[in-house]
Amino acid sequence: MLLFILRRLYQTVIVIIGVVLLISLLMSIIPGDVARMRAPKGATEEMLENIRQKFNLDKPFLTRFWLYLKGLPTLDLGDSYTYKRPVMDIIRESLPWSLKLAIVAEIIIVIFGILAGVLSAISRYSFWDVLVTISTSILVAMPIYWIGRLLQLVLAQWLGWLPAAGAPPPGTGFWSGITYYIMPAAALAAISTAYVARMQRSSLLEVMRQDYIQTARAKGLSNRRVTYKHALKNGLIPVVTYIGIDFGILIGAAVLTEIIFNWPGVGHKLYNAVLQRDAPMVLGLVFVLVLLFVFINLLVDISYAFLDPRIRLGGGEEVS
Amino acid sequence: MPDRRDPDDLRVGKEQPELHGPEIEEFEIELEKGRVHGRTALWSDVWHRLYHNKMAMVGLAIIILLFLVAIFAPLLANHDPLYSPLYNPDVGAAEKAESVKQTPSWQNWLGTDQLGRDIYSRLVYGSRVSVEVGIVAVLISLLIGLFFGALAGYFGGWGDSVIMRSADVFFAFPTVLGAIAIMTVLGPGLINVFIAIGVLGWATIARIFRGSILSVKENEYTEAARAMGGSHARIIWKHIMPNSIQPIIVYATMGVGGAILAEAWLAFLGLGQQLPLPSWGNMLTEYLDFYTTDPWMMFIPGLAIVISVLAFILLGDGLRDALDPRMKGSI
Repeated sequence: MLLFILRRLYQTVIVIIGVVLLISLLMSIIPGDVARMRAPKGATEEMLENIRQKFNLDKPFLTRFWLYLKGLPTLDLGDSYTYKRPVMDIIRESLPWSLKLAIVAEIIIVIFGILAGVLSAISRYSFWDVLVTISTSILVAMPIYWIGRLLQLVLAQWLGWLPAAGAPPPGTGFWSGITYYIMPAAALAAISTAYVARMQRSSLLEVMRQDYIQTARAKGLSNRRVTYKHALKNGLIPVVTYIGIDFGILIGAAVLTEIIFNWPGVGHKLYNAVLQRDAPMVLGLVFVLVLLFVFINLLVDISYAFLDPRIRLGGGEEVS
Repeated sequence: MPDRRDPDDLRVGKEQPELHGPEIEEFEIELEKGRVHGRTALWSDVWHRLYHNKMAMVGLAIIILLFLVAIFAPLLANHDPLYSPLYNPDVGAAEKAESVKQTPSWQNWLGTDQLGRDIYSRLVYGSRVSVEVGIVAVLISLLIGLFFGALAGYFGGWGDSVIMRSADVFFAFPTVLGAIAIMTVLGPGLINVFIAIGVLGWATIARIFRGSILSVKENEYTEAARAMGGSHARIIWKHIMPNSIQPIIVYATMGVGGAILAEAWLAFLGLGQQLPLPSWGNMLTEYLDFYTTDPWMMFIPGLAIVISVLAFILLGDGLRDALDPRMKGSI
């Protein structure tokens, strides 16, 4: 077990070094005269020179690479071109909003994804099964921001049940606060819920075909008991791992949903930074989110190894 | 003289009768026939299974239609996709006001957008972007992925470690974030969309291909080819590739759908095909703004994207089942 954790840690360190190098490289090869783009109209050459100096744009490629690289281990991501503040400060303000949204989305994924998958598997080829299969296929093929707009159209515009966009204003009570979360979290969760449902279905069907289930049936156990007591436990393992890894998809998708719902998280900040061509902000945000993703994957893998002895005793390669 | 054998019996691993002199020569001829027959039989089996998979055939039909629309866009479009009456000095003010956001009619089959442009013609021309992004991005991924996957799987050693650790680094980037990072550096535009999506896809293909190479590398026919002095490139291309390409075909098919979807969200982030040129992602992004007043508009590019992506998923699913019937039903 210790060996497995050490090997996984070693891999993670290598990946993080690679990510750091890649982001630094991207940061130092941005083409075009950034200073001229950032400066107000009619700026003098002296002002441009000041801007260049402030953001190290006057230094040669390798020096810039080194300066940026040096800051990353201490999470010094430089200053944002537009906000004129350290990128890390802005991330500290907005990350909690994104994490809260992601947690609500994960809850939706777990409840609806697993439930739909199980129902679909136990009543195979029924109306319900066909409905789940078709709707999950369609969801997977939809641009996520369109899902968000459709939810707004139906739930806010037509039915008026939920607030159309934005985060709960300060001082909002818990229950009315929740209403702000439902739509963005549902949009964020939609695609992953579809994947989880499909995965749960096939995983449970696979387990139901195994010998020990036949044995349990032969012993005269009821269908319900065989399904829920024996099959579901093992049928859940791949799904649980997927849900962990899926966090990365959520982080990516969050960018798109946060824009649609005007949510004050990192995704929204990232979008603004993209529009403003604010490279330190974009790459800094991407760096922190990727770091988060890598750590969560590490935790999922290690906890998975605790759950499934096959992983830590030999098949460890499969999860890497 | 050996009996006529079923090609299956000629596969390595089956016990063969001992042969002498001219018999060997005849056997080799048979073997060659069997090999050729075996390969065509494999693909005709695959086609047979695919043909009987209704959903996959629906997917294939939609894909063919999509390609035809993209190729013949100038013939199919009945308006200039860029023409907006709002910018035409000859059009009167009243006429301008009337020309925008018109619901479908005989003149404008799918209505007009906020600038009075014909939505049907924009949709038809927009299909070209989707097809281009899908094909070019996947080809770039394939080119890089197959090359490095083959290098890693076939030669192993430290090269393998370096390539696979680099692949891990790419896996650490959720696609949206990776694409945003690359596009910020390269700048917006269609060519850069090809590059960003293409570059991000290589790692998965390399990993799949490396895995399948490892599983066929030690087979006896590969060893035989090596013993006969075949070059590395020849062995990879002639012997390993045909036996390990199947999962790649499935992945690439689905990848085209993924790339079409990626074009849509890159357009949403303002990083894709630049306006006013039409792409489905651009159209959807523009029409989203009118969801309160004219919600029908966003359904046109939205459905076009969903149907095309779905078609590639269905065909990919079908191909996977057809190529490897054991995988049937798994996702």
